[in-house]
Amino acid sequence: MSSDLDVMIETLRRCEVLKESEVKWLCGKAMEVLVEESNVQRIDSPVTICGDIHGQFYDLVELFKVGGDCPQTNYLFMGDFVDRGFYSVETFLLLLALKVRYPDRIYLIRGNHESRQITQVYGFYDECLRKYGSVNVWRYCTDIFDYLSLSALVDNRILCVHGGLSPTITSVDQIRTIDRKQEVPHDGAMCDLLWSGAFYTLVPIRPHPEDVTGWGLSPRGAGYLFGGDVCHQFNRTNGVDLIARAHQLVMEGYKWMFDEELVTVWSAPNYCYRCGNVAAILELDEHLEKNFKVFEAAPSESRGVPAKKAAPDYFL
Amino acid sequence: MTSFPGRGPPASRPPGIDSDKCDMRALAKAGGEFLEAGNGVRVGGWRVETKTTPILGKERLDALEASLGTSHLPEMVFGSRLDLTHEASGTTIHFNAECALREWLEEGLPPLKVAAAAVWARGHERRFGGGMPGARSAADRFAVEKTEKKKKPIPGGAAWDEREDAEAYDWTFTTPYRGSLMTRADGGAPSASGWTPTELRVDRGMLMERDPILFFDELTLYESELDDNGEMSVTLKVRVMPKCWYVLLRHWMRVDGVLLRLRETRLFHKMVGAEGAAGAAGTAVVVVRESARREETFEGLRARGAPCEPGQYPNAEEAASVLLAAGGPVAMEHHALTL
Repeated sequence: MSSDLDVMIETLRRCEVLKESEVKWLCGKAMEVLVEESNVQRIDSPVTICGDIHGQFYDLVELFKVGGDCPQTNYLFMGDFVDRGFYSVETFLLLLALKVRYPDRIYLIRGNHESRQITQVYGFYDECLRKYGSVNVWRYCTDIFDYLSLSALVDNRILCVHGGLSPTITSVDQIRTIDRKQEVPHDGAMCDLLWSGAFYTLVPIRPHPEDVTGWGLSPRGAGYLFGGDVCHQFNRTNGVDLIARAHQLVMEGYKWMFDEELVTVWSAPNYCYRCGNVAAILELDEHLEKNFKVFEAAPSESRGVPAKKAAPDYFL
Repeated sequence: MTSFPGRGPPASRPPGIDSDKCDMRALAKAGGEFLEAGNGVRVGGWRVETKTTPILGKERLDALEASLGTSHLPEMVFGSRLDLTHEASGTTIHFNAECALREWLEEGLPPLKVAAAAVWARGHERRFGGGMPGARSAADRFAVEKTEKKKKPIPGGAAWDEREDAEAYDWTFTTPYRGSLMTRADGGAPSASGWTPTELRVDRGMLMERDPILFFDELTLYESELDDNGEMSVTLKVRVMPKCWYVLLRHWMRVDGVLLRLRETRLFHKMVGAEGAAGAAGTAVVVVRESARREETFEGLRARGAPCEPGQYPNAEEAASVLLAAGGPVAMEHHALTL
C-alpha cells in the first residue's frame, strides 16, 4: 500500500490529478484513519500549525519549503483546504494522501469550507466537475469532510480550531461529545467551532476586540461574537494557554488578540491571487516556544498558470 | 520572532510604467504622453492616472478606522485609486476606497439577514431564550427588529454584550459612491456638486469602435467575502481612446440565497476635437455619467424563472451579464458635468 501511496503523493506533488479510481481508494483509506480520531485530536509538540490554504497549491508547496517537508516536520492544518484557489483538488488530495501515509505526522481538522453546501458555491464543486467530468470525486471528498476532526489540543496547552468558540461550549470535553460525522449544521456547537468569524461565531478581528466583552450577536442574523474575557475564561477553565485559529485573512499572516490568548494564523499568501498579503505558519517546538514563519506566494514562474494581468479590454 | 526565509520581505511594485497597459505608438499618434511619475497618460487635455496596491495592512487600516469612525471594515481594502484630471479647469474626478466607504456609512442601509438566519435564530432561542431578531420572511431580512431580550444565562457565567447586539450596521458595505469631485480652488476637498441631470447619453457606438486603447487599467477599491455568506466588491475599469475616455465603476453584492445588488456607474467623455464633441468650437467640456441600479431577491429570480443559484452569479462581470439577460427592473439616472 505504501508504495502505491508514495506514487500518488509524487503525482500530487507535481500538481497532477489522480485517477477517479485512485481518489476513491484514497478516500476509503483516509476514512479508516480519520474515523479513529477524536473530535479533539491530541497532538504532541513539536508541530507546525497552518491556517487556510484555499486551493493555492503552489503556495502550499512553498509552505512545505519554508516549514520543512512532511514527515520531517509535523503539521496541523486548521481547515479550509478547498475553494477560491485554482487547485483545490490537488491541494486536498495531497494533504489527505500525506495523512494516510503519515497519520501521526500530519493532522487535518475541518474548516467551514469543508462542506457540501459551501463548496457548491465557492469553487471546489465546479473544479471537480471541470477536472473529472463528473461529480464523483466531489462526492468522495465531501464524504471524507464529514470524518475530519473538529479541533486539536497540543500538549494539552494549545487548542486549535478553525473558527472559534461557542457559547454552548465551556469545556474541551463538551467538544468531545459532538457527533461530528455529518454535514456542517446551520447552528449549534459544531457550526460555531467551524464558522467563527463568519456566519456564526464571529471573532471580531479589527473591531478593537479588546473592548468587546462577553458574547454578542452578529448583525447578519446568525452567529456570535466573543470578547477577550470569554476567551480568557475559556482558557482558564480548560487549563489552556492559547487558542490558535484560522479563518480570517490577515495581511501580516498572523495576528495576536486578547493579550496573546488567541492567535489567528493565515497560510494563503497573495490570497485569491490579488490581495498581496503574506502568509504565516506557527512553529511550536518541544517546549511550545513559538516561532512564526512568514512567507510570500510562490514565484510566478513556478506556477502552471501565469499571473493574471489586466489585459486591455473593450468593456462597456 | 518573525523571519522571512528565502526571499526577503515583499517587494514593492517597481516604479515607472507598466507597458502592458498602454499602446505607446497610438498614444504618440494621438498627441499624448505617458506620465513619468506613475501609471497613466496625458492626452486630450486630461491626465488619467491609476495606482494599484495590495490590501491595507494593520497600520493603514487602523488609520482608516479612525478617519471613518467605524471599526467594521471589509477585510480587503485596497489603497488603489483612479484620478481623471481636466487640466485646463483643474477639476479631478477621483475614486478611492475611503470616499466609497464614507458614503457606505452615510447611506447606512439596515443589515440584511443571511439565508440561514431563521434556522439559526430558532437554535439560539432554544438555547438562550427569546429576543433574537430572526428572519421569518423575506421582508424581515431587510430590517433588524429590536426586541426586548429575555436571555437565559450562558454556561460558564459570561455575559451578553448589549453594545454588540445593538450595533446593527450594513455588513454588505453597500455604497452609493459614484466618485468624488475635487477642484483646484477648494484645495482638493471632495464635493458632490457639479453633476446636473442631462439628456446626453454615453456614446456606445463610439465605445464599440475598435480604436486603439491608449491606456487601460482595472482596480478594486474594496472587497469582502461577507464571511462566506456571499461576495461584494467595488471595482473600476478605465480605458482611454483617441476619441474618448470611459470609466465603469461597479458595486456588486451577492448574499447567498437572499439578494443580488449591482450598482453601475459609467463615465464617458468625448475628447475635444473628436467628431461631434463639445468643446471643439470653444464650447464646454462635458462628462456624461450614467447610473444603473439593479436589485433582485433570489425568491424573485426564482419566481421569474431566472437563474437562482448563487453559483450562477460568481462575480461582478458574470452577474452583470446574467442580470442584464434576466431583464429585471433597473433604475437609471443620467448626469453631466460641464467644465
